[in-house]
Amino acid sequence: MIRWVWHKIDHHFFEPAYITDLSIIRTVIVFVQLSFLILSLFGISFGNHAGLLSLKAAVSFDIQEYSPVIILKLFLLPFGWGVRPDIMFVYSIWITALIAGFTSLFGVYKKLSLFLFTASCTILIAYAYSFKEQHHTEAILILFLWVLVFGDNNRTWSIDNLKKRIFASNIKMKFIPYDRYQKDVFSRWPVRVMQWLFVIVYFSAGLEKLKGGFNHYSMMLSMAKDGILFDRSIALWMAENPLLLQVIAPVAVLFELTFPLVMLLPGITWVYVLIGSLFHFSIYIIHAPPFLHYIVLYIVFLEPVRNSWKKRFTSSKKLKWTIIYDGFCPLCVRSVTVIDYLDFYKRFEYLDLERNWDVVQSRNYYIEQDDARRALYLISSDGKKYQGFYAFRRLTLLIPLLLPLSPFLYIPYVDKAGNYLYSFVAANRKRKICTFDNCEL
Amino acid sequence: MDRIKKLIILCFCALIIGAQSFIVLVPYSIIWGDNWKMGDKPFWPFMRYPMYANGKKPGDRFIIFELRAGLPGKEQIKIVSNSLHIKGYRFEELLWKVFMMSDKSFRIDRSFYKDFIYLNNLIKKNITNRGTVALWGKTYTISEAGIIEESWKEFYSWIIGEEKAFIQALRRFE
Repeated sequence: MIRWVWHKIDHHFFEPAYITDLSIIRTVIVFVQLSFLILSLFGISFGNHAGLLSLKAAVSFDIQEYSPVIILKLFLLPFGWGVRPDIMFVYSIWITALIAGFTSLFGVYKKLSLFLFTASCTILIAYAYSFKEQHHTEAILILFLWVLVFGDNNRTWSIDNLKKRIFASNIKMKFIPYDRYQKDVFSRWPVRVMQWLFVIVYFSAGLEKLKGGFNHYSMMLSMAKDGILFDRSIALWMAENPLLLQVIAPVAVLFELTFPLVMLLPGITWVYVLIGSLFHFSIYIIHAPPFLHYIVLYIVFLEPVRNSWKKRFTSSKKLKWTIIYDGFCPLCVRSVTVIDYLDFYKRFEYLDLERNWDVVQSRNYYIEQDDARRALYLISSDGKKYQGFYAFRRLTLLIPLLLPLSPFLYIPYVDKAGNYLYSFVAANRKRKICTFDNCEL
Repeated sequence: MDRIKKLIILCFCALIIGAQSFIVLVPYSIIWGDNWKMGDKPFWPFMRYPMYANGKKPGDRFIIFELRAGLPGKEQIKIVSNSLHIKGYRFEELLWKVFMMSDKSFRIDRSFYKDFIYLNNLIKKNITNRGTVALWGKTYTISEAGIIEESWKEFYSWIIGEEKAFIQALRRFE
């Protein structure tokens, strides 16, 4: 029996999962929290980040109102139990959060960055909620971040990892393709914990409604109140239509109470994610309390939704573009390593003109080896060739993260300057012929 | 080695999921004892989600309050939470307490008078220490057919600096 239970738990939390999934989730969650941090600076409310929004006002709040939440007391324990932090301390934490937010988003010193970002955001929001008013919606985001602090293995989607790959390519003097389909037993549990937290949150909302005797009059009252406070005419209209509310009220409770089913039946997750997204979007449109970021946080259900929709990691299994690069040129190997890292849809095939020249010849691309040594080639599936600067310019249209660069590269005469620069760099780059010890042919 | 790592991770998972479940399933009053006040969520970010959960019936109402200060020789101004340097919900709570103080249908205790004096001190400190203050409100009542809206009405007014006399006057009715 114990063995069976252990096996089930082990399977649930430690079944190998794509490490990229966890990195995508981390990037999205950090992005959401960082956006809240930046938006609150300008006093813009989009999604519920009430804590950060009220932070500026909180530093001037009456001392009699100060009633710190437990987590803030724990963080500030070195200064004394329940002390109120100095204004300068709060601002320095805010700056730390901002810097660490950017570095953890891009994965620079990611473990430390993510810890600093999460701890800073927790202190800031907990401080803002230490004046006898606490809100819900940032809570789940903070819990997710803490799970990621302990759970994200930093093995993909980070500058730290890209640097490691470039270093490895340099050592081996060979381009090492990036395996997007790599799985790991320790990549599943953080996602599982976040999914469970989501499930408990919805179940709690449903349970409270059952215990509180929620009915369509509750909805009528909340619609009317929010409609007046936030000036939403649609909420006021709904408050005047009890029949409509009689239909919506039980559906909302049913959705919340049955949400835990997604853990038992992953196949139905996409239905709940779809209904949930509509649910939160409608709440935002109808009566202002914004839970919009919950729609983005559904990213924790990425795997079951993807599996249900039969979508693979790549948009297409067919390789559409071929890159022919100089495998004896460290700069070229580094460039191809970066391109491969940013190639989320696996659209490129890479051919080393020194090691794979026979393959290049067999495909009838009609290019000379010497010519290919001078500049990188990009060849489309229909045989259209781009070389040097023009290849790079075309790449910016194919790689989503480089897309913002492309308008500048298509400005008239930029190609002339670009060509000159490319030729200059290409003429001055080093070429290393690998030796028996360090070269993997 | 992996087995030990897995056990440590499972303990962490149990801690996070367990803490969130505990908060959701066990009443705050049991966890926090007598010190807990309705609305307090001391365990943030672990908290329950009681959005609009309470059942309502026709006849139930809500009131949108406004606190207005009449300064000598000037027009009435609306006092908002930020100008008193307190949170919005806390401000609303104080206004409700002021409203409940004179409504015999509510049971009140000494904390209501204490909060009333506190509100006055905030006004004196941040707005003015002369003139009158009035609590205005607009009542909305639930009915079978929808919401019934009443017009704005002044519930109470008192003179700043004479709030103790106001309390004495109220107590005479107790």
